[in-house]
Amino acid sequence: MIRLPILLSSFFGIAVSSLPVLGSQSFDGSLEFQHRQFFESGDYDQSKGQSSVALSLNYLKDWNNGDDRLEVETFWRVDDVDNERTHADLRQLIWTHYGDNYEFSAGLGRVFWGVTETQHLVDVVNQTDLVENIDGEDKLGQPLLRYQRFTEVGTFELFLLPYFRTRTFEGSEGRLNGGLRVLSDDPVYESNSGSSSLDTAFRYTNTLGAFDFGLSWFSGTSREPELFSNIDFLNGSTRPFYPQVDQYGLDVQFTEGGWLLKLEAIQRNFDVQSIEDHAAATLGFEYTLVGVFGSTYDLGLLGEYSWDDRGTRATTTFQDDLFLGARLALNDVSSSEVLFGVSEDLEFSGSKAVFLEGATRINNAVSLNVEARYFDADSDRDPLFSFKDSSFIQVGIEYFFD
Amino acid sequence: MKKLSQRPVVILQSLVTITALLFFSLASAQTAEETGLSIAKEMKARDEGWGNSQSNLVMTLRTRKGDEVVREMRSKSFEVAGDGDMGLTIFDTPLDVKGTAFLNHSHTTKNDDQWIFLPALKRVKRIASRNKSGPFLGSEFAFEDLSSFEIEKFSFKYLRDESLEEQETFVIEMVPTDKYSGYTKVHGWVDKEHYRPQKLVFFDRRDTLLKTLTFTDYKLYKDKYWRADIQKMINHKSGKSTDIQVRNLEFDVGLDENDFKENRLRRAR
Repeated sequence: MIRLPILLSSFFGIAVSSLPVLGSQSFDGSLEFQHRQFFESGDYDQSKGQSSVALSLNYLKDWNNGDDRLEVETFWRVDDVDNERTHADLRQLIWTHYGDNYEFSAGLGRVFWGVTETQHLVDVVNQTDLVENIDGEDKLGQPLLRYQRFTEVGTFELFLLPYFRTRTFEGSEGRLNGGLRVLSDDPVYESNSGSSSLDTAFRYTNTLGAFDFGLSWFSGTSREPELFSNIDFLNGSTRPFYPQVDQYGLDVQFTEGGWLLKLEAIQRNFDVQSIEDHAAATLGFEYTLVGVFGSTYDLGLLGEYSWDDRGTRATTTFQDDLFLGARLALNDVSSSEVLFGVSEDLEFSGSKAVFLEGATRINNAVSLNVEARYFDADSDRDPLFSFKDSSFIQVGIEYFFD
Repeated sequence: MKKLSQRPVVILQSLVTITALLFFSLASAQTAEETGLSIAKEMKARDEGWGNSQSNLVMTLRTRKGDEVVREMRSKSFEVAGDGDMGLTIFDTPLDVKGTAFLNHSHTTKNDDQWIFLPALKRVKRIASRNKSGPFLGSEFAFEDLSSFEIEKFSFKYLRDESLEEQETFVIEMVPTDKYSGYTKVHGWVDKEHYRPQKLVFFDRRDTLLKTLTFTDYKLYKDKYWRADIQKMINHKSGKSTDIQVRNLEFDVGLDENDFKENRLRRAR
């Protein structure tokens, strides 16, 4: 284990020492061992256990007095059950120039938009790496040109996105594939240019007192595919269909005292008749209690309500859902933290998703992560129905090096 | 001649006596609160105009049994006239939080504004800043112990003079004005020569002795500003302690307000 970073660094051709910065460059990474244990066998007799190893290697170089920077982030995972989950990605390979009142980036990059926790409606620049985790927080590197301008009246950003990347889905051996094998590598596009169609995005952000807000507009290939128009019933598979979409987004956060109040709202308009234009929103809060039970623990209470105007016709599980959660931070040397949450569907009664995420540090280089998800659904019209036998507990041990 | 020569001396002596009496009565006319406030104002005045700085911090956390863990971070600071200062902290270790950046705009009378950059998600998150009594990175330092010293954050009271480690000091009492502070009061030992804090004793919400912070290895920068290389915090209740060692402290490093804007936080490293 200890020799590993040395091997990796020689692979990268970089001299590595325990110093985080060598000249104006730095190298780091992590190796994660993960195991998922499902409580029930799958419908297709998949195995109950699923183990994998993931490796991340990152490199950063600054020059020109820090006005120019190169960032490289690579990711590999090898999974013993699901071939689709065995995958690699260049999360970042991006050059950024920092001007006095502007920034310009070119390459494969990652961008985050938004404020809420349960779903990320406005965040559409990067494609979701769904095989990593069904929470949708892992993203694939996106080829982009980005120009950002800082002014007295806010920040303006313009994106040109010259290449589209398809969403990753679990394969037939995977347990979290929603009961449908999505042929990720065989997509159908509305655009004649396919994956090479040029997408554009614009974003404006500003802070007014306790309010932070963002307005965004995206025009191009939808990051979310439609999965039901190209189903091959014989093979139980589907080709994902990526339509053209115009998405208008708003995100707002109000921060005061121990309170955060959050809103994300979008309107999506499609050209193709088969896909319904729709609006969706998530409204939520976070309230932090400091030093609970006479201890140094912090207790955060979270609540989010998600709505979609398509109602039960929505392609998402978040169409009329209430999420309630609690985050306990022990504030100890190990930064131990537990987040517990329940998502209840208000439309489909008996539809519920419960999760628990916990993390602690074993030592300066090793962390332990635990994740458990429990799904329950009664109605087969509920998108969560296909997950009802896929409750699992996952343990990950991650070793960091630099 | 003899008599005459003695007269000026007598006059001088009585003058001295009168002045001393006058001074004493003036001094006692000043209340303990006024004296405390003037000491605090002098501390603040002597530290004004430092501009901007950066340093490396090594934080050593010790358990009662003596087990140690080390945290490394870099800190950048920017002085704001008429309000609290701005601070940017970038974590180097532990490695799972490497690259995480914490931005603080402290304010004299309202809540601080705080943001955190999470490198794994590329997300900048504005966070609730009322968490001032909570521990910083699992250490014995609370967030409020690390924020900039501002007159408006306390009411002051002069307690007594005392000699501490061969230095003459004023002992003052500081009562936080913010109801979310973790302390009912803080006692401070301030040396008379340079008005530098030498020791702070913290009392928790039950008004019992909680922690002691000592400042050692003071160095002079820009011929005017004193900074302690070592801050040692001991928690009397848990027996744990945390040392902060300041390394490579530099002033006038060319930082400006833009380096402390939340929309530039992704750049921090």
